[in-house]
Amino acid sequence: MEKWVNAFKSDMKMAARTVKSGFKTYFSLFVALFLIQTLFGIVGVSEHNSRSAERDAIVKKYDCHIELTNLNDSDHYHLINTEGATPNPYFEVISYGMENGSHTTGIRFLGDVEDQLQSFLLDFEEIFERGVICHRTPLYEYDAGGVGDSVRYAIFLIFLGGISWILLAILNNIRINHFKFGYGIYMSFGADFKRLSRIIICEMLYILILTYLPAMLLAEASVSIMTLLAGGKLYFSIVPLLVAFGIPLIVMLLAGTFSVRFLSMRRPSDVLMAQDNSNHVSSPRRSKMLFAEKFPPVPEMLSLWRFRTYALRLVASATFFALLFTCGIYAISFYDRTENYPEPQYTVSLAVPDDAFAAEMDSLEGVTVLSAGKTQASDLNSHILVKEDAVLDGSAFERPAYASDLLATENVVYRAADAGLPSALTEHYGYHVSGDPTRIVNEDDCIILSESIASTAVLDVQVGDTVYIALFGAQTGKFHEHEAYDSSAMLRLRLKYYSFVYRAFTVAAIIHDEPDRSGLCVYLPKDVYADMTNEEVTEWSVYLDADLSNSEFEAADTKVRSLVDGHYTATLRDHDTRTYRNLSAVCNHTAVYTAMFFVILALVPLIWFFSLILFNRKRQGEFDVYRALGAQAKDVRRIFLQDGAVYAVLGGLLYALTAPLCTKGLFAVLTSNKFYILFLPSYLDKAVYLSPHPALWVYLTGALLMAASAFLACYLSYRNYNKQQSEHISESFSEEE
Amino acid sequence: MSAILETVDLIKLYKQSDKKIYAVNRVNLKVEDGEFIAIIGASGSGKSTLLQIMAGLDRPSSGSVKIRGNDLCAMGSDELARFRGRFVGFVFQKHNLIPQFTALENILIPTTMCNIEDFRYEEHIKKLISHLGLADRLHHLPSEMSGGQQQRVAIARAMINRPQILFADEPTGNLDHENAKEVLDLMLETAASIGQTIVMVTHDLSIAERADKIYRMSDGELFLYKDKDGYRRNSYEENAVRIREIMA
Repeated sequence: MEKWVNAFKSDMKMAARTVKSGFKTYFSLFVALFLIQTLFGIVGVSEHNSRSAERDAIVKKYDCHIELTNLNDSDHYHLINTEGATPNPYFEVISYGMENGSHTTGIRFLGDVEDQLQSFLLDFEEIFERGVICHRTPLYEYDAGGVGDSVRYAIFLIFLGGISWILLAILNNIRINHFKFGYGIYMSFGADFKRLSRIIICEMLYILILTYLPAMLLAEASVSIMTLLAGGKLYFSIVPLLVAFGIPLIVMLLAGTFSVRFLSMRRPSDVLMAQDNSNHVSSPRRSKMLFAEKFPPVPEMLSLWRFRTYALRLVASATFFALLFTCGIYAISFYDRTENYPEPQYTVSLAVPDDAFAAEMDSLEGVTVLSAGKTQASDLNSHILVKEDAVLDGSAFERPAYASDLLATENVVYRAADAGLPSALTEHYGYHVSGDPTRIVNEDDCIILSESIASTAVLDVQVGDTVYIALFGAQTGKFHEHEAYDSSAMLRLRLKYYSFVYRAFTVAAIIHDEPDRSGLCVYLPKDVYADMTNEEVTEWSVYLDADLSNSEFEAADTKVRSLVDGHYTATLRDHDTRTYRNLSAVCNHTAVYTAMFFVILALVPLIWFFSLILFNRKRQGEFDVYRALGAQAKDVRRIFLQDGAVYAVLGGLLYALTAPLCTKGLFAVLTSNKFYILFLPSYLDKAVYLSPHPALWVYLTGALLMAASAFLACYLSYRNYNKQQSEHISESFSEEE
Repeated sequence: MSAILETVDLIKLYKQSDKKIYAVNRVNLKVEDGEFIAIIGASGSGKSTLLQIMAGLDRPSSGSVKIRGNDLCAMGSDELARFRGRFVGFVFQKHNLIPQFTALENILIPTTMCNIEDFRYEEHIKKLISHLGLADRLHHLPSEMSGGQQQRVAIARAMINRPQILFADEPTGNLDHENAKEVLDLMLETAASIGQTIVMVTHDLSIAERADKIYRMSDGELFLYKDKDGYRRNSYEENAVRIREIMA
């Protein structure tokens, strides 16, 4: 152990010496490790802060995991007695009082809430059979979701770790490649892979330790400022700060050993020779006549071809981080849109239809009430027929044998529209609507139709088009279940073996950005909806104006609750939308993650500058030879600027070609159910219409930064070269004197 | 005496477009323990390449190199690195000192790269330093030392692990005559004191004259030029003479 400690001390001493004396060569690693630690610091501190704030807000409002209503006296006391009689009870009973002969009782679990809820439901099965209703509270959702959230957070950290690893590996490779002489000497005198790894890891560890404190201060300060500006509270914990050291440490170990693996496999003679001969390479002066013109006009442009592998690697590395920024900002725009999407504060259910009650609720100040009637067409054996030319390519529609120019789909959701819907579509949801939605309540046989599913356009219908809605008539033939292997096959069979009655409707309005994932939305007048589905609307979503102040919100809340309490069959479910929205505003995730991706964007110039400045410094001997052979300063400048221009065009072009592809891929993954995978952010569970492209400024920022960094890196290399030339000349004069 | 170094049909081939260039062409060499071998030849004749292959710094295209019976070509990169650290010392033509390290730190590089147990460095370092006359320069950076001093540091670095065989690639090539003689004397004395074998590449015949054997390298081929029995004609010349005799 002592031997190991001594060896470590000696390695760290050597690393400190190497890093201090070659600070300029390690500068990029200082910047990179500082940014990586800041990144993990910001993410960790903000995550801890938002989780603590969320927990606080929930605990403040809820003290139980489930709420039981409709309990009679005997059930209520049965629960209390069971709790008292059990030696190690797994729940606590919290009584909320009694109204109209029924108790409202809270249950707080004392361990793993998911397991204990299952046990509770089994243990007290008989009370639920008697009509007791069980609601899970947000406290349950919070406690039960802890593991899932932790897994998602861990996966996100691994994702960030992966990015950091790529960055460190790239920078390390560039640095080792440019300064391999020292490692070549080590290798000549017996350094194997393990020894070289220790050297490089100690160098990086030394930098990591030096950058840790400033990075953590910056991370804490950034999150504190963002949280305090949003009116939130700060929660300090040492854990995120330790994570912000631990993960970069692991990443650094992996990146260090990865770079060294390739180095250690090289021959020391190659490593040393590359250093010795690097300055003696000169551009081949060759041009070709093309279309009676000399190409390239300046032979030095061939140097880019000479270093093509390097150039391609460099452009690809910088593009990778620019693309990461683009996709990151795009994903944040999804999150932001989801967070600000209107969601109901309550769901109110009645045992019997009561339009007057809904109207009274709607008339309350700050309240918008919308019907929650919604039925999937396939559940009714129904479908719609639309004109063939209104169906966009790639959409899954079927052609019935009896309608040559019409196509059918049962990927449809029928929704009930009441008088408030037309204005709510634009004013409340903010949908982009064509046509006149009010016709649905003023005219007969009109519908409002959405033309997209899960943010993807499926239809291109026009206002005034006719859409036929099929109502199931009878089954005219038999088919085996195995024939209906997917939804398209099912529809084909239904079209063949079922008879339908079609009812024609005129499209009064079209919603272009309806977010429903389950199918095309067809809004039907309430009576038509009831006829078709045989269901009366007895459930409403109640929205409260998001701009209400706290006192206005409390007033509206009281009014809604007293109206519900006054109705003999009404029950209310509180979704706590306001609480979550306030939390979201306080946590300010949008700002935190936007800042994070801008940090990633900062890596683009870092790679360009670090790599090109070192690369051109290595070519200094080549330029000196040009100068010695009679080239003027402007000729050398032209080479730098030409290189810069070509790199700028290459970088900008590669980014411009790949960025739309990446965002398209990201859109497909995030919006398609086919790609739904566990680690996708939970906010994507919500049905929100997402834009198929990020904002133009995102593309422009990426492309401009790629091009400008490439050009400026070459220009700065020229400035460095010029400065060294002047110093060299002035030194020569002073020596002569 | 047993052979410490043996090469069999060593070839190093470079391909330049459709041309094949033999930097080392079927070299067979046997070096006995404690011998001092010099290899001379014109620039580009392949002597440095041969030296690097024999020292395990480069790999041949075919053939084998054995040091103390260990086949260097059969070793993986890590095993070869460890072997170099234990058995081989190398003095480069351009001293190749790490500029940010002091003379002492440069000398100690092999010890930190390859810790050999049961080895008393301190005593050896003191002896080496005093022998090479570096005592007052130990804490100087390479840029603060003369060419001769730098090369002496490089020699000390190559000998610090007490390698059994020392390869030197024109160790005096960058020095003036006086310095060259002094450095060579020191190197040979130090090597003799610890019983090392030396294989040195040089283009200076006056330096080569001090070796036990001189080999000449021409177009990648190695010929014995001089041994204890005196100068020899190379095999090419011998063959040419024989062919002329037959033709006559």
